[in-house]
Amino acid sequence: MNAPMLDVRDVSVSFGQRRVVSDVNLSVEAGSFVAVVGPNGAGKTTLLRGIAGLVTSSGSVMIDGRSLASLSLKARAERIAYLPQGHVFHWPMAVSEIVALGRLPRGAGADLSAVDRAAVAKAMAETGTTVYANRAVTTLSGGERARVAVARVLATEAPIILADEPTASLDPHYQLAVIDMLRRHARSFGIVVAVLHDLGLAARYADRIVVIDGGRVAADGTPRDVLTAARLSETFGVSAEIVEVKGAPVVVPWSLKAR
Amino acid sequence: MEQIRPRQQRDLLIIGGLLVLVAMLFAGSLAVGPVFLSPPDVVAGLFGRASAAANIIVREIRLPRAILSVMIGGTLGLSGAALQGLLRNPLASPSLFGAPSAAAFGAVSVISLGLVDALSYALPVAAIVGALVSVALLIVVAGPRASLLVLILAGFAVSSLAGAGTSLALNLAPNPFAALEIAFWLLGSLEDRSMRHVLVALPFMVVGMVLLLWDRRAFRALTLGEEAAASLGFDLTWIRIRVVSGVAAAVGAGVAVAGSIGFVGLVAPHLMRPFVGYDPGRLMVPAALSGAALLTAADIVVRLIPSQEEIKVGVVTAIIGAPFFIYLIMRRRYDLSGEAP
Repeated sequence: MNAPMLDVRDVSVSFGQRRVVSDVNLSVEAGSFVAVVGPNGAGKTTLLRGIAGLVTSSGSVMIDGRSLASLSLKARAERIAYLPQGHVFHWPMAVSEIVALGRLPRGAGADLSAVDRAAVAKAMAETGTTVYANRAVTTLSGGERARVAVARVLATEAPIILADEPTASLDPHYQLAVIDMLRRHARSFGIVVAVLHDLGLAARYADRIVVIDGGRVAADGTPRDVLTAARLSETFGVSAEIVEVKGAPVVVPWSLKAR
Repeated sequence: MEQIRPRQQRDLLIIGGLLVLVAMLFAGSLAVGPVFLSPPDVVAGLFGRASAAANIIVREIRLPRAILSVMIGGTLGLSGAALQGLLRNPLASPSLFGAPSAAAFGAVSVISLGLVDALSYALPVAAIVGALVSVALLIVVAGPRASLLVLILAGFAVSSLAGAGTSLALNLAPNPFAALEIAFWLLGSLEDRSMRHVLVALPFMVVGMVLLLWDRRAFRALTLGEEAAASLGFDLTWIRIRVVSGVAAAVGAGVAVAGSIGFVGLVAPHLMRPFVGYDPGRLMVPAALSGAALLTAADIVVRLIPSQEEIKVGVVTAIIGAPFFIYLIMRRRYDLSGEAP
Protein backbone atom coordinates (compact mmCIF):
# COMPACT_ATOMS: atom_id res chain seq x y z
CA MET A 1 0.00 0.00 0.00
CA ASN A 2 1.46 3.34 -1.02
CA ALA A 3 1.30 6.21 1.44
CA PRO A 4 -1.96 7.92 0.55
CA MET A 5 -2.66 11.57 0.92
CA LEU A 6 -6.15 12.99 0.78
CA ASP A 7 -6.53 16.63 -0.07
CA VAL A 8 -9.99 18.15 -0.14
CA ARG A 9 -10.02 21.71 -1.51
CA ASP A 10 -12.96 24.12 -1.48
CA VAL A 11 -15.49 21.33 -1.82
CA SER A 12 -19.10 22.47 -1.96
CA VAL A 13 -22.21 20.42 -2.60
CA SER A 14 -25.59 21.87 -3.54
CA PHE A 15 -28.94 20.16 -3.96
CA GLY A 16 -30.83 22.51 -6.23
CA GLN A 17 -30.69 25.94 -4.62
CA ARG A 18 -29.74 24.58 -1.23
CA ARG A 19 -26.05 24.56 -0.39
CA VAL A 20 -25.41 21.65 1.94
CA VAL A 21 -21.62 21.71 2.07
CA SER A 22 -19.68 24.97 1.66
CA ASP A 23 -16.00 25.39 0.84
CA VAL A 24 -14.64 22.57 2.96
CA ASN A 25 -10.87 22.23 3.07
CA LEU A 26 -9.35 19.13 4.58
CA SER A 27 -5.91 17.67 4.18
CA VAL A 28 -5.27 14.23 5.63
CA GLU A 29 -2.00 12.33 5.79
CA ALA A 30 -1.46 8.61 5.77
CA GLY A 31 -1.89 6.98 9.14
CA SER A 32 -4.59 9.36 10.32
CA PHE A 33 -7.96 8.64 11.81
CA VAL A 34 -10.14 11.71 11.35
CA ALA A 35 -13.50 11.99 13.09
CA VAL A 36 -16.14 14.25 11.53
CA VAL A 37 -18.62 15.45 14.14
CA GLY A 38 -21.46 17.96 14.07
CA PRO A 39 -25.15 18.38 14.68
CA ASN A 40 -27.80 16.46 12.74
CA GLY A 41 -28.26 17.91 9.27
CA ALA A 42 -24.92 19.72 9.34
CA GLY A 43 -23.85 18.13 6.06
CA LYS A 44 -21.47 15.48 7.40
CA THR A 45 -22.84 12.62 5.30
CA THR A 46 -23.03 14.83 2.21
CA LEU A 47 -19.42 15.90 2.74
CA LEU A 48 -18.37 12.26 2.93
CA ARG A 49 -20.33 11.44 -0.22
CA GLY A 50 -18.79 14.45 -1.95
CA ILE A 51 -15.28 13.25 -1.08
CA ALA A 52 -16.17 9.75 -2.32
CA GLY A 53 -17.47 11.19 -5.59
CA LEU A 54 -20.98 9.86 -4.97
CA VAL A 55 -22.60 13.29 -5.40
CA THR A 56 -21.71 16.10 -7.78
CA SER A 57 -19.53 18.64 -6.02
CA SER A 58 -17.50 21.70 -6.89
CA GLY A 59 -13.93 22.16 -5.76
CA SER A 60 -11.45 19.34 -5.97
CA VAL A 61 -10.58 16.12 -4.19
CA MET A 62 -6.97 15.07 -4.72
CA ILE A 63 -5.57 11.65 -3.88
CA ASP A 64 -1.79 11.45 -4.00
CA GLY A 65 -1.76 14.63 -6.03
CA ARG A 66 -4.20 13.28 -8.62
CA SER A 67 -7.64 14.73 -9.01
CA LEU A 68 -10.46 12.33 -8.21
CA ALA A 69 -12.39 13.69 -11.21
CA SER A 70 -9.60 12.56 -13.56
CA LEU A 71 -9.76 8.97 -12.29
CA SER A 72 -11.98 6.29 -13.79
CA LEU A 73 -14.73 4.87 -11.58
CA LYS A 74 -12.68 1.71 -11.16
CA ALA A 75 -9.50 3.62 -10.24
CA ARG A 76 -11.51 5.61 -7.72
CA ALA A 77 -12.98 2.46 -6.22
CA GLU A 78 -9.47 1.04 -5.81
CA ARG A 79 -8.46 4.07 -3.75
CA ILE A 80 -11.55 5.02 -1.77
CA ALA A 81 -13.85 2.62 0.05
CA TYR A 82 -17.17 3.91 1.31
CA LEU A 83 -19.00 2.40 4.26
CA PRO A 84 -22.60 3.67 4.21
CA GLN A 85 -24.81 4.08 7.23
CA GLY A 86 -26.90 1.23 8.51
CA HIS A 87 -24.95 -1.84 7.32
CA VAL A 88 -27.78 -2.96 5.06
CA PHE A 89 -27.63 -6.19 3.05
CA HIS A 90 -30.46 -6.82 0.63
CA TRP A 91 -30.07 -10.54 -0.12
CA PRO A 92 -29.37 -13.37 2.33
CA MET A 93 -25.99 -14.18 0.77
CA ALA A 94 -23.27 -16.00 2.71
CA VAL A 95 -20.98 -13.72 4.72
CA SER A 96 -17.89 -14.78 2.77
CA GLU A 97 -19.68 -13.86 -0.48
CA ILE A 98 -20.63 -10.45 0.92
CA VAL A 99 -17.06 -9.73 1.97
CA ALA A 100 -15.89 -10.85 -1.48
CA LEU A 101 -18.03 -8.08 -3.05
CA GLY A 102 -15.28 -5.75 -1.88
CA ARG A 103 -13.12 -7.33 -4.58
CA LEU A 104 -15.40 -6.23 -7.45
CA PRO A 105 -13.33 -3.12 -8.32
CA ARG A 106 -10.33 -5.41 -8.70
CA GLY A 107 -12.18 -7.34 -11.36
CA ALA A 108 -13.20 -10.36 -9.28
CA GLY A 109 -15.34 -12.66 -11.41
CA ALA A 110 -17.52 -15.62 -10.55
CA ASP A 111 -14.55 -17.32 -8.95
CA LEU A 112 -12.01 -15.43 -6.89
CA SER A 113 -8.32 -15.37 -7.73
CA ALA A 114 -5.77 -16.38 -5.09
CA VAL A 115 -5.08 -12.69 -4.41
CA ASP A 116 -8.80 -11.98 -3.96
CA ARG A 117 -9.21 -14.97 -1.67
CA ALA A 118 -6.27 -13.86 0.45
CA ALA A 119 -7.69 -10.33 0.80
CA VAL A 120 -11.11 -11.70 1.78
CA ALA A 121 -9.59 -14.13 4.30
CA LYS A 122 -7.47 -11.36 5.82
CA ALA A 123 -10.39 -8.94 6.09
CA MET A 124 -12.52 -11.62 7.74
CA ALA A 125 -9.77 -12.57 10.16
CA GLU A 126 -9.19 -8.94 11.13
CA THR A 127 -12.86 -8.38 11.83
CA GLY A 128 -13.47 -11.72 13.54
CA THR A 129 -16.08 -12.71 10.98
CA THR A 130 -14.43 -15.91 9.79
CA VAL A 131 -16.69 -17.94 12.10
CA TYR A 132 -19.78 -16.69 10.24
CA ALA A 133 -18.31 -17.32 6.77
CA ASN A 134 -21.08 -19.65 5.59
CA ARG A 135 -23.99 -18.04 7.39
CA ALA A 136 -26.56 -15.93 5.59
CA VAL A 137 -25.71 -12.33 6.38
CA THR A 138 -29.34 -11.46 7.14
CA THR A 139 -29.41 -13.93 10.05
CA LEU A 140 -26.69 -12.03 11.94
CA SER A 141 -27.27 -9.52 14.74
CA GLY A 142 -26.76 -5.80 14.12
CA GLY A 143 -23.32 -5.87 15.69
CA GLU A 144 -22.24 -8.90 13.68
CA ARG A 145 -23.51 -7.29 10.49
CA ALA A 146 -21.52 -4.14 11.27
CA ARG A 147 -18.36 -6.22 11.46
CA VAL A 148 -19.20 -7.90 8.15
CA ALA A 149 -19.70 -4.46 6.60
CA VAL A 150 -16.28 -3.39 7.84
CA ALA A 151 -14.78 -6.63 6.52
CA ARG A 152 -16.29 -5.91 3.09
CA VAL A 153 -14.69 -2.45 3.14
CA LEU A 154 -11.31 -3.78 4.28
CA ALA A 155 -11.42 -6.42 1.51
CA THR A 156 -11.31 -3.65 -1.10
CA GLU A 157 -7.75 -2.91 0.10
CA ALA A 158 -8.44 0.73 -0.68
CA PRO A 159 -6.08 2.94 1.35
CA ILE A 160 -8.79 5.48 2.14
CA ILE A 161 -11.92 4.46 4.05
CA LEU A 162 -14.81 6.88 4.43
CA ALA A 163 -17.22 5.57 7.06
CA ASP A 164 -20.61 7.09 7.77
CA GLU A 165 -21.62 6.54 11.40
CA PRO A 166 -20.02 3.10 11.58
CA THR A 167 -20.85 2.74 15.28
CA ALA A 168 -24.44 3.97 15.21
CA SER A 169 -26.95 1.71 16.97
CA LEU A 170 -24.27 -0.72 18.14
CA ASP A 171 -23.84 -1.82 21.74
CA PRO A 172 -20.67 -0.65 23.56
CA HIS A 173 -18.81 -3.86 22.79
CA TYR A 174 -19.35 -3.60 19.05
CA GLN A 175 -18.79 0.17 19.06
CA LEU A 176 -15.31 -0.40 20.41
CA ALA A 177 -14.74 -3.40 18.14
CA VAL A 178 -15.69 -1.54 14.96
CA ILE A 179 -13.83 1.66 15.75
CA ASP A 180 -10.78 -0.32 16.77
CA MET A 181 -10.76 -2.12 13.40
CA LEU A 182 -10.97 1.19 11.59
CA ARG A 183 -8.17 2.70 13.64
CA ARG A 184 -5.98 -0.31 12.95
CA HIS A 185 -6.51 0.32 9.25
CA ALA A 186 -5.41 3.95 9.69
CA ARG A 187 -2.38 2.86 11.73
CA SER A 188 -1.26 0.55 8.94
CA PHE A 189 -0.69 3.66 6.87
CA GLY A 190 -4.18 4.13 5.56
CA ILE A 191 -6.62 6.98 6.04
CA VAL A 192 -9.95 6.75 7.82
CA VAL A 193 -12.46 9.58 7.83
CA ALA A 194 -15.47 8.62 9.94
CA VAL A 195 -18.63 10.50 10.81
CA LEU A 196 -19.22 9.88 14.51
CA HIS A 197 -21.92 11.07 16.87
CA ASP A 198 -20.29 9.68 19.98
CA LEU A 199 -17.94 12.46 21.04
CA GLY A 200 -16.36 10.20 23.63
CA LEU A 201 -15.37 7.65 20.99
CA ALA A 202 -14.19 10.43 18.71
CA ALA A 203 -12.04 11.90 21.46
CA ARG A 204 -10.48 8.59 22.35
CA TYR A 205 -9.83 7.18 18.91
CA ALA A 206 -9.41 10.06 16.48
CA ASP A 207 -6.11 11.77 15.83
CA ARG A 208 -8.06 14.73 14.68
CA ILE A 209 -11.60 16.00 14.93
CA VAL A 210 -13.30 18.11 12.30
CA VAL A 211 -16.45 19.88 13.44
CA ILE A 212 -18.96 20.57 10.67
CA ASP A 213 -21.74 23.05 11.31
CA GLY A 214 -24.05 24.49 8.68
CA GLY A 215 -22.03 22.81 5.95
CA ARG A 216 -18.80 24.55 6.96
CA VAL A 217 -15.76 23.52 8.96
CA ALA A 218 -16.34 25.10 12.37
CA ALA A 219 -13.24 23.65 14.01
CA ASP A 220 -10.41 21.32 13.07
CA GLY A 221 -7.72 20.02 15.36
CA THR A 222 -6.75 17.48 18.02
CA PRO A 223 -9.56 16.24 20.27
CA ARG A 224 -8.15 18.29 23.17
CA ASP A 225 -8.15 21.49 21.12
CA VAL A 226 -11.55 21.00 19.54
CA LEU A 227 -13.67 19.53 22.31
CA THR A 228 -13.91 22.60 24.49
CA ALA A 229 -16.91 23.71 26.51
CA ALA A 230 -17.25 26.84 24.35
CA ARG A 231 -17.18 24.84 21.11
CA LEU A 232 -19.73 22.29 22.31
CA SER A 233 -22.01 25.05 23.47
CA GLU A 234 -21.79 26.89 20.14
CA THR A 235 -22.10 23.88 17.84
CA PHE A 236 -24.38 21.52 19.70
CA GLY A 237 -26.18 23.87 22.09
CA VAL A 238 -25.25 21.81 25.12
CA SER A 239 -23.37 22.59 28.21
CA ALA A 240 -20.93 19.74 28.68
CA GLU A 241 -18.69 18.43 31.40
CA ILE A 242 -15.25 17.63 30.07
CA VAL A 243 -13.12 15.40 32.23
CA GLU A 244 -9.90 13.65 31.49
CA VAL A 245 -9.64 9.88 31.83
CA LYS A 246 -6.29 8.18 31.22
CA GLY A 247 -5.06 11.14 29.19
CA ALA A 248 -8.07 11.37 26.90
CA PRO A 249 -10.80 13.99 27.15
CA VAL A 250 -14.22 12.53 27.96
CA VAL A 251 -17.22 14.60 27.04
CA VAL A 252 -20.44 14.30 28.98
CA PRO A 253 -23.24 16.46 27.54
CA TRP A 254 -24.99 17.69 30.68
CA SER A 255 -27.77 20.13 29.89
CA LEU A 256 -29.34 22.03 27.02
CA LYS A 257 -28.24 25.51 26.18
CA ALA A 258 -29.44 27.95 23.56
CA ARG A 259 -27.25 27.73 20.46
CA MET B 1 -9.87 -20.73 1.93
CA GLU B 2 -12.31 -23.55 2.33
CA GLN B 3 -15.49 -21.51 2.65
CA ILE B 4 -15.35 -20.25 -0.91
CA ARG B 5 -16.08 -23.16 -3.21
CA PRO B 6 -15.63 -22.98 -6.96
CA ARG B 7 -18.83 -21.24 -7.86
CA GLN B 8 -18.43 -21.41 -11.60
CA GLN B 9 -18.47 -25.20 -11.49
CA ARG B 10 -21.63 -25.33 -9.40
CA ASP B 11 -23.34 -22.75 -11.61
CA LEU B 12 -22.50 -24.73 -14.74
CA LEU B 13 -24.06 -27.79 -13.16
CA ILE B 14 -27.27 -25.88 -12.42
CA ILE B 15 -27.34 -24.34 -15.89
CA GLY B 16 -26.68 -27.74 -17.49
CA GLY B 17 -29.52 -29.31 -15.52
CA LEU B 18 -31.90 -26.53 -16.52
CA LEU B 19 -30.87 -26.86 -20.18
CA VAL B 20 -31.76 -30.55 -20.09
CA LEU B 21 -35.11 -29.70 -18.49
CA VAL B 22 -35.88 -27.02 -21.11
CA ALA B 23 -34.89 -29.44 -23.92
CA MET B 24 -37.21 -32.11 -22.52
CA LEU B 25 -40.10 -29.66 -22.20
CA PHE B 26 -39.39 -28.38 -25.71
CA ALA B 27 -39.67 -31.93 -27.02
CA GLY B 28 -42.84 -32.39 -24.98
CA SER B 29 -44.28 -29.22 -26.47
CA LEU B 30 -43.71 -30.63 -29.97
CA ALA B 31 -45.45 -33.87 -29.03
CA VAL B 32 -48.61 -32.38 -27.52
CA GLY B 33 -51.63 -31.17 -29.44
CA PRO B 34 -55.18 -31.96 -30.52
CA VAL B 35 -53.84 -34.34 -33.17
CA PHE B 36 -51.97 -37.31 -31.73
CA LEU B 37 -48.57 -37.88 -33.28
CA SER B 38 -46.24 -40.64 -32.13
CA PRO B 39 -42.70 -39.59 -31.11
CA PRO B 40 -41.18 -41.06 -34.32
CA ASP B 41 -43.76 -39.11 -36.35
CA VAL B 42 -42.85 -35.91 -34.49
CA VAL B 43 -39.15 -36.41 -35.23
CA ALA B 44 -39.85 -37.29 -38.87
CA GLY B 45 -42.21 -34.31 -39.16
CA LEU B 46 -39.55 -32.00 -37.80
CA PHE B 47 -37.32 -32.95 -40.72
CA GLY B 48 -40.20 -32.93 -43.23
CA ARG B 49 -40.19 -36.69 -43.70
CA ALA B 50 -43.56 -37.60 -42.25
CA SER B 51 -46.95 -37.33 -43.96
CA ALA B 52 -47.81 -33.91 -45.40
CA ALA B 53 -50.25 -33.23 -42.54
CA ALA B 54 -47.74 -34.27 -39.86
CA ASN B 55 -45.04 -32.12 -41.47
CA ILE B 56 -47.27 -29.07 -41.30
CA ILE B 57 -48.46 -29.78 -37.75
CA VAL B 58 -44.94 -30.21 -36.36
CA ARG B 59 -43.04 -27.60 -38.36
CA GLU B 60 -45.59 -24.84 -38.78
CA ILE B 61 -47.86 -25.18 -35.77
CA ARG B 62 -45.98 -26.79 -32.91
CA LEU B 63 -42.39 -25.74 -33.60
CA PRO B 64 -42.99 -21.95 -33.59
CA ARG B 65 -45.12 -22.37 -30.49
CA ALA B 66 -42.37 -24.28 -28.66
CA ILE B 67 -39.67 -21.81 -29.78
CA LEU B 68 -41.77 -18.83 -28.68
CA SER B 69 -42.51 -20.33 -25.27
CA VAL B 70 -38.78 -20.81 -24.65
CA MET B 71 -37.88 -17.34 -25.97
CA ILE B 72 -40.64 -15.46 -24.16
CA GLY B 73 -40.31 -17.42 -20.92
CA GLY B 74 -36.55 -16.92 -21.01
CA THR B 75 -36.68 -13.17 -21.56
CA LEU B 76 -39.38 -12.80 -18.91
CA GLY B 77 -37.27 -14.70 -16.38
CA LEU B 78 -34.23 -12.61 -17.28
CA SER B 79 -36.19 -9.35 -17.11
CA GLY B 80 -37.57 -10.25 -13.70
CA ALA B 81 -34.14 -11.20 -12.37
CA ALA B 82 -32.60 -7.98 -13.71
CA LEU B 83 -35.33 -5.77 -12.23
CA GLN B 84 -35.17 -7.60 -8.91
CA GLY B 85 -31.40 -7.16 -8.89
CA LEU B 86 -31.65 -3.48 -9.76
CA LEU B 87 -34.41 -2.76 -7.24
CA ARG B 88 -33.05 -5.23 -4.67
CA ASN B 89 -36.57 -6.43 -4.19
CA PRO B 90 -37.88 -9.95 -4.89
CA LEU B 91 -41.32 -8.50 -5.64
CA ALA B 92 -40.17 -6.56 -8.71
CA SER B 93 -41.31 -7.74 -12.13
CA PRO B 94 -41.41 -6.32 -15.67
CA SER B 95 -44.94 -4.95 -15.27
CA LEU B 96 -43.61 -2.63 -12.55
CA PHE B 97 -42.04 -0.51 -15.26
CA GLY B 98 -45.21 -0.27 -17.32
CA ALA B 99 -43.62 -1.85 -20.38
CA PRO B 100 -46.09 -4.74 -20.90
CA SER B 101 -49.14 -2.47 -20.55
CA ALA B 102 -47.70 0.04 -22.98
CA ALA B 103 -46.80 -2.73 -25.42
CA ALA B 104 -50.32 -4.10 -25.12
CA PHE B 105 -51.75 -0.65 -25.72
CA GLY B 106 -49.58 -0.24 -28.83
CA ALA B 107 -50.88 -3.50 -30.25
CA VAL B 108 -54.49 -2.86 -29.26
CA SER B 109 -54.42 0.54 -30.99
CA VAL B 110 -53.47 -1.19 -34.21
CA ILE B 111 -56.24 -3.76 -33.83
CA SER B 112 -58.75 -0.98 -33.13
CA LEU B 113 -57.70 0.94 -36.20
CA GLY B 114 -58.52 -2.16 -38.17
CA LEU B 115 -55.05 -2.45 -39.62
CA VAL B 116 -54.32 -5.88 -38.31
CA ASP B 117 -55.65 -7.88 -41.26
CA ALA B 118 -54.12 -5.71 -43.92
CA LEU B 119 -50.79 -5.32 -42.22
CA SER B 120 -50.11 -8.20 -39.90
CA TYR B 121 -46.64 -6.90 -39.19
CA ALA B 122 -48.17 -3.76 -37.72
CA LEU B 123 -49.17 -5.59 -34.54
CA PRO B 124 -45.73 -6.63 -33.29
CA VAL B 125 -44.11 -3.42 -34.44
CA ALA B 126 -46.72 -1.31 -32.62
CA ALA B 127 -46.26 -3.31 -29.42
CA ILE B 128 -42.50 -2.86 -29.49
CA VAL B 129 -42.90 0.85 -30.22
CA GLY B 130 -45.36 1.09 -27.32
CA ALA B 131 -42.87 -0.50 -24.92
CA LEU B 132 -40.05 1.72 -26.12
CA VAL B 133 -42.18 4.87 -25.89
CA SER B 134 -43.15 3.97 -22.33
CA VAL B 135 -39.51 3.53 -21.41
CA ALA B 136 -38.48 6.79 -23.07
CA LEU B 137 -41.33 8.55 -21.28
CA LEU B 138 -40.24 6.96 -18.03
CA ILE B 139 -36.69 8.22 -18.42
CA VAL B 140 -37.88 11.75 -19.26
CA VAL B 141 -40.37 11.85 -16.38
CA ALA B 142 -37.96 10.37 -13.87
CA GLY B 143 -34.91 12.35 -14.97
CA PRO B 144 -31.38 11.06 -15.39
CA ARG B 145 -30.54 10.63 -11.69
CA ALA B 146 -33.89 9.44 -10.49
CA SER B 147 -34.25 7.38 -7.36
CA LEU B 148 -35.84 3.99 -7.77
CA LEU B 149 -38.95 5.11 -5.97
CA VAL B 150 -39.46 7.80 -8.63
CA LEU B 151 -38.92 5.17 -11.33
CA ILE B 152 -41.49 2.86 -9.75
CA LEU B 153 -44.05 5.65 -9.41
CA ALA B 154 -43.44 6.82 -12.97
CA GLY B 155 -43.78 3.21 -14.15
CA PHE B 156 -47.07 2.93 -12.32
CA ALA B 157 -48.32 6.15 -13.96
CA VAL B 158 -47.25 4.99 -17.41
CA SER B 159 -48.87 1.60 -17.00
CA SER B 160 -52.10 3.18 -15.71
CA LEU B 161 -52.19 5.48 -18.72
CA ALA B 162 -51.59 2.60 -21.11
CA GLY B 163 -54.20 0.51 -19.30
CA ALA B 164 -56.72 3.34 -19.65
CA GLY B 165 -55.91 3.56 -23.36
CA THR B 166 -56.49 -0.17 -23.77
CA SER B 167 -59.77 0.03 -21.89
CA LEU B 168 -60.84 2.89 -24.12
CA ALA B 169 -60.09 0.81 -27.20
CA LEU B 170 -62.17 -2.04 -25.77
CA ASN B 171 -64.89 0.44 -24.84
CA LEU B 172 -65.04 1.86 -28.35
CA ALA B 173 -64.69 -1.46 -30.17
CA PRO B 174 -66.95 -1.24 -33.23
CA ASN B 175 -68.42 -4.72 -32.81
CA PRO B 176 -68.33 -7.69 -30.40
CA PHE B 177 -65.88 -9.51 -32.63
CA ALA B 178 -63.31 -6.72 -32.43
CA ALA B 179 -63.77 -6.55 -28.64
CA LEU B 180 -63.38 -10.32 -28.41
CA GLU B 181 -60.23 -10.20 -30.49
CA ILE B 182 -58.68 -7.53 -28.24
CA ALA B 183 -59.69 -9.36 -25.08
CA PHE B 184 -58.49 -12.78 -26.22
CA TRP B 185 -55.20 -11.33 -27.34
CA LEU B 186 -54.75 -9.54 -24.00
CA LEU B 187 -55.10 -12.87 -22.19
CA GLY B 188 -51.79 -13.99 -23.63
CA SER B 189 -51.55 -17.07 -25.78
CA LEU B 190 -49.08 -18.98 -27.93
CA GLU B 191 -51.79 -20.54 -30.07
CA ASP B 192 -51.48 -20.28 -33.85
CA ARG B 193 -48.14 -18.50 -33.97
CA SER B 194 -45.93 -18.80 -37.00
CA MET B 195 -42.23 -18.70 -37.70
CA ARG B 196 -42.76 -15.10 -38.77
CA HIS B 197 -43.73 -14.23 -35.20
CA VAL B 198 -40.51 -15.88 -34.06
CA LEU B 199 -38.42 -13.89 -36.53
CA VAL B 200 -40.11 -10.58 -35.67
CA ALA B 201 -39.52 -10.99 -31.97
CA LEU B 202 -36.05 -12.53 -32.11
CA PRO B 203 -33.83 -9.51 -32.87
CA PHE B 204 -35.45 -7.40 -30.15
CA MET B 205 -35.18 -10.21 -27.66
CA VAL B 206 -31.51 -10.76 -28.42
CA VAL B 207 -30.78 -7.04 -27.91
CA GLY B 208 -32.80 -7.09 -24.69
CA MET B 209 -30.97 -10.16 -23.37
CA VAL B 210 -27.56 -8.65 -24.08
CA LEU B 211 -28.53 -5.45 -22.26
CA LEU B 212 -29.92 -7.35 -19.29
CA LEU B 213 -26.94 -9.69 -18.93
CA TRP B 214 -24.54 -6.73 -19.12
CA ASP B 215 -24.84 -5.68 -15.47
CA ARG B 216 -24.58 -8.97 -13.64
CA ARG B 217 -21.64 -7.76 -11.55
CA ALA B 218 -23.45 -4.52 -10.71
CA PHE B 219 -26.45 -6.49 -9.39
CA ARG B 220 -24.09 -8.26 -6.98
CA ALA B 221 -22.66 -4.93 -5.81
CA LEU B 222 -26.19 -3.56 -5.36
CA THR B 223 -26.67 -6.14 -2.59
CA LEU B 224 -24.88 -3.54 -0.46
CA GLY B 225 -27.18 -0.68 -1.53
CA GLU B 226 -26.81 2.01 -4.16
CA GLU B 227 -24.17 4.13 -2.44
CA ALA B 228 -21.90 1.20 -1.74
CA ALA B 229 -22.39 -0.09 -5.30
CA ALA B 230 -21.47 3.32 -6.70
CA SER B 231 -18.42 3.40 -4.43
CA LEU B 232 -17.37 0.05 -5.89
CA GLY B 233 -17.10 1.70 -9.31
CA PHE B 234 -20.53 1.10 -10.86
CA ASP B 235 -22.32 3.87 -12.76
CA LEU B 236 -25.91 3.52 -11.61
CA THR B 237 -27.39 5.93 -14.14
CA TRP B 238 -26.23 3.80 -17.07
CA ILE B 239 -27.17 0.59 -15.33
CA ARG B 240 -30.75 1.85 -14.95
CA ILE B 241 -30.90 2.92 -18.58
CA ARG B 242 -29.59 -0.46 -19.77
CA VAL B 243 -31.97 -2.48 -17.59
CA VAL B 244 -35.03 -0.41 -18.49
CA SER B 245 -34.23 -0.50 -22.23
CA GLY B 246 -33.44 -4.21 -22.06
CA VAL B 247 -36.74 -4.94 -20.34
CA ALA B 248 -38.61 -2.82 -22.90
CA ALA B 249 -37.05 -4.57 -25.88
CA ALA B 250 -37.43 -8.08 -24.47
CA VAL B 251 -40.88 -7.71 -22.95
CA GLY B 252 -42.20 -5.54 -25.79
CA ALA B 253 -41.23 -8.17 -28.33
CA GLY B 254 -42.79 -10.91 -26.20
CA VAL B 255 -46.07 -9.08 -25.64
CA ALA B 256 -46.16 -8.29 -29.35
CA VAL B 257 -46.28 -11.89 -30.44
CA ALA B 258 -48.07 -13.54 -27.51
CA GLY B 259 -49.98 -10.91 -25.57
CA SER B 260 -49.59 -10.32 -21.86
CA ILE B 261 -48.17 -13.28 -19.99
CA GLY B 262 -47.73 -12.36 -16.36
CA PHE B 263 -45.87 -13.64 -13.31
CA VAL B 264 -43.21 -15.72 -15.10
CA GLY B 265 -40.77 -12.85 -14.50
CA LEU B 266 -41.70 -12.86 -10.83
CA VAL B 267 -41.68 -16.58 -10.15
CA ALA B 268 -38.72 -17.79 -12.24
CA PRO B 269 -35.97 -15.84 -10.41
CA HIS B 270 -37.50 -16.70 -7.07
CA LEU B 271 -37.34 -20.45 -7.73
CA MET B 272 -33.67 -20.31 -8.69
CA ARG B 273 -32.41 -17.97 -5.97
CA PRO B 274 -31.60 -20.61 -3.31
CA PHE B 275 -29.58 -22.60 -5.85
CA VAL B 276 -27.16 -19.74 -6.50
CA GLY B 277 -26.70 -18.67 -2.89
CA TYR B 278 -29.08 -15.71 -3.37
CA ASP B 279 -26.43 -14.06 -5.54
CA PRO B 280 -28.30 -11.68 -7.89
CA GLY B 281 -25.53 -11.86 -10.51
CA ARG B 282 -25.28 -15.63 -10.67
CA LEU B 283 -29.07 -15.77 -10.71
CA MET B 284 -29.44 -14.28 -14.20
CA VAL B 285 -28.90 -17.26 -16.52
CA PRO B 286 -30.67 -19.82 -14.31
CA ALA B 287 -33.63 -17.42 -13.98
CA ALA B 288 -33.86 -17.14 -17.76
CA LEU B 289 -33.79 -20.92 -18.17
CA SER B 290 -36.33 -21.52 -15.42
CA GLY B 291 -38.59 -18.90 -17.05
CA ALA B 292 -38.31 -20.80 -20.32
CA ALA B 293 -39.11 -24.08 -18.56
CA LEU B 294 -42.07 -22.59 -16.70
CA LEU B 295 -43.74 -21.06 -19.73
CA THR B 296 -43.13 -24.13 -21.91
CA ALA B 297 -44.58 -26.34 -19.18
CA ALA B 298 -47.59 -24.04 -18.79
CA ASP B 299 -48.11 -24.11 -22.54
CA ILE B 300 -48.10 -27.92 -22.47
CA VAL B 301 -50.60 -27.91 -19.60
CA VAL B 302 -53.11 -25.73 -21.47
CA ARG B 303 -53.13 -28.25 -24.30
CA LEU B 304 -53.64 -31.19 -21.94
CA ILE B 305 -56.60 -29.69 -20.06
CA PRO B 306 -59.73 -31.05 -21.71
CA SER B 307 -61.94 -28.09 -22.63
CA GLN B 308 -63.87 -26.89 -25.62
CA GLU B 309 -61.87 -23.74 -26.12
CA GLU B 310 -58.14 -23.96 -25.41
CA ILE B 311 -57.31 -22.19 -22.15
CA LYS B 312 -54.96 -19.25 -22.70
CA VAL B 313 -51.50 -19.74 -21.24
CA GLY B 314 -51.55 -16.21 -19.78
CA VAL B 315 -54.55 -17.24 -17.69
CA VAL B 316 -52.73 -20.29 -16.32
CA THR B 317 -49.60 -18.33 -15.40
CA ALA B 318 -51.77 -15.72 -13.67
CA ILE B 319 -53.79 -18.33 -11.76
CA ILE B 320 -50.58 -19.90 -10.47
CA GLY B 321 -48.56 -16.70 -10.26
CA ALA B 322 -50.90 -14.30 -8.47
CA PRO B 323 -51.35 -16.41 -5.32
CA PHE B 324 -47.59 -16.93 -5.34
CA PHE B 325 -47.16 -13.15 -5.46
CA ILE B 326 -49.44 -12.77 -2.44
CA TYR B 327 -47.47 -15.48 -0.62
CA LEU B 328 -44.23 -13.62 -1.36
CA ILE B 329 -45.66 -10.36 -0.03
CA MET B 330 -46.79 -12.08 3.15
CA ARG B 331 -43.46 -13.80 3.69
CA ARG B 332 -41.60 -10.60 2.99
CA ARG B 333 -43.78 -8.82 5.52
CA TYR B 334 -42.79 -11.29 8.23
CA ASP B 335 -39.15 -11.11 7.14
CA LEU B 336 -39.16 -7.37 7.46
CA SER B 337 -40.95 -7.10 10.76
CA GLY B 338 -38.62 -5.88 13.47
CA GLU B 339 -35.87 -5.15 10.99
CA ALA B 340 -34.65 -1.82 9.66
CA PRO B 341 -35.64 -1.34 6.02
